[in-house]
Amino acid sequence: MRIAFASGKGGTGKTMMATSVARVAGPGAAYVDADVEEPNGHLFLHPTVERETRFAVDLPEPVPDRCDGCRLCQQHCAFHAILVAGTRVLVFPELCHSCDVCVDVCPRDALAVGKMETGTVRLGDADGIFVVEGRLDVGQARATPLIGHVTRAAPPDADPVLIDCPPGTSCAAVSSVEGADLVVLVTEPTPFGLHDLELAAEMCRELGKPVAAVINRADLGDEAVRNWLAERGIPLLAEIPFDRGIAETYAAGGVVADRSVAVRRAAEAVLAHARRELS
Amino acid sequence: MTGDPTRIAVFSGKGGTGKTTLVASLVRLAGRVVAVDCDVDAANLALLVPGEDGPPTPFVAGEKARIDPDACLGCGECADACSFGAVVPDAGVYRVRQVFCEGCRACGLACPTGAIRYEPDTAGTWRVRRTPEGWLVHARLGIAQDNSGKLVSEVRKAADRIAAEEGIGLVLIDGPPGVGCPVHAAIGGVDLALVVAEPTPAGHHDMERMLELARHFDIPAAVLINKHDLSPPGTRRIEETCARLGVPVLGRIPFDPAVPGRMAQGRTPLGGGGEVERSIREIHAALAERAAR
Amino acid sequence: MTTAEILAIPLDADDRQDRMGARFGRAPAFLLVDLGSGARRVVPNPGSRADHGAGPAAAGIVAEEGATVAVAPHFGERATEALRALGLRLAHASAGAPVEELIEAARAGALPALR
Repeated sequence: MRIAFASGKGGTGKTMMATSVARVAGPGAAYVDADVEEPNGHLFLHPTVERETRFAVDLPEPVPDRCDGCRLCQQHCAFHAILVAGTRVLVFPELCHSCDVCVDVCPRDALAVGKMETGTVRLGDADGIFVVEGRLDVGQARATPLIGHVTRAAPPDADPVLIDCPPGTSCAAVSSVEGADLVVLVTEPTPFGLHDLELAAEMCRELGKPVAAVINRADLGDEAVRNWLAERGIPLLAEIPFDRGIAETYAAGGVVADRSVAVRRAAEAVLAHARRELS
Repeated sequence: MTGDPTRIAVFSGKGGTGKTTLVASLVRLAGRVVAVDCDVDAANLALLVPGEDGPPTPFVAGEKARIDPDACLGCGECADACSFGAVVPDAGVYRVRQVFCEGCRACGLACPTGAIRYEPDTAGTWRVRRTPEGWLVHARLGIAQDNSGKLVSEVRKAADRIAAEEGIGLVLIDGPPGVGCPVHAAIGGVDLALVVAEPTPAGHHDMERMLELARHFDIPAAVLINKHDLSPPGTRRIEETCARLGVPVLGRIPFDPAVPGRMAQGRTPLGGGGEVERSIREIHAALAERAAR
Repeated sequence: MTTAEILAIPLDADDRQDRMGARFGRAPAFLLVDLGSGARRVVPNPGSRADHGAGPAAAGIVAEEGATVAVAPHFGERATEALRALGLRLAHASAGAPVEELIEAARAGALPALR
């Protein structure tokens, strides 16, 4: 059972919910931090890191003395990542999408499939919860291959797998929810929350993913989000009232479900819904 | 050619730090300003800056593959060639899942019948809003579009153009989250990167990554601490880090439960009185002084 | 600089050929000036509309057109790498600089080179 926690925007409480559901599910669950540009689930679960590996993507590698300067690779690269200067092939790693087209079109095998490291994957343990974290190297712009990798990096017997997604509806967010059976949209009952919720729900619809919602800071805004969810038949699993204690627990780096009854109940409701819908 | 406007970009590492609230307030205080919402993946500055929108301009970026089902033999060479898992079998032939296509054309090279075409992709739209005293450029990126860096460049260009045409001296950029490509596009050539940090472990960590990026781009940075009173030790740690890095702390905004309530009604903290408003006014004054230098 | 040089100058618009533009990779067009014959022509830069990688693409275009010196207010990291690899030299001038002055300076060997 794989549950993704997504939202149109950061700061709505995705990490709070994903870590809390991990805690409530207990040993055997996996928490995957797919927010590889800003991974911070570890700050709340405090895992012991057991294994750390580097992640690499394909990058064409010029083979010395083979290029005859025909420039087919440059002409075929849709991303302007290759430039041929005489018989020297220049590869611009940050532009490359690892599609390998250049390698395939070269008539002289002057390019080979090489590798470039773009981030780190950490596997750890937090009181029996498997913790997987992807961390993109600073300066790297392409997060999706690493995200795809970490969402599949939990042990096969881990259950449930809880995926903490990057915010938004970009390719990074799409990659992070792609492998989920259910997407929980964490939102707020404000005009902002509704705006972002609409975008996140649209993404899930395009991907054909079932969705459910949790409203955080539920007592602050208006009824628009609840009405919108009801109109679309999206199940509202829990409402968490605004509480300074929640903010303080989070600020201190704790799992909020350990301190807040409302958040613990919300996490239990998410698990119960997922078990009912996905079993 | 008139002098370049002062460009200030506000970043937060992660969302939810009150960045948009702050930018919307600064827009109101600055008056004649061109604001740009560069958080194009989840643009919502427009929810707090009233005005009248111009027509949408389509944003075209990249290409997507389409397979003509009548010309497809169903051999699957295209699916094997695709590095992104975008080509899938569908009713005896193959189909491109548009969301996953990166437009590399590997499938077209592999196709024995020429059944694959490439079409320009409308990746989003942007609009110019006339606000009471200035302008707001805001965009909406389509689902699963990864060209937000290019869209950021496009809306920034539009903002610079308006500033030049109207003789406006300040461009205020609401930056995207993260430290990736869109942030690179938003930070390039700005006069100041203002990083909004919260006194939480996550906030501190995000701030450090953002300051590292600003240093990488050789852009002067300053920090604002939001909700500073939620964690005095966290605030102290942020101040220590800033002192160590030689980055000025331009202001501290207290936590006020009334602010989220006002935001929820689409209102900024301005006009509500109180400490939050006072600190934002101080920050505005500090920025105005910096811009004048 | 010798008279055999061909100067590549980015323009802000292809119908505005009297002043240098602000950007290299994303310039919509380049003015190429043969310092020997004085011949000028404008070449479009389709790479200016690229999603990414405008710098290397522009470098490839001006090199293809025979340029030996690229002048701009600022070159991106990748554009710099690409131009150098293609054997061009890089020179600096301010955005909006009059093209005539740039040509004068280049002929006099007074364009500041970028290391």
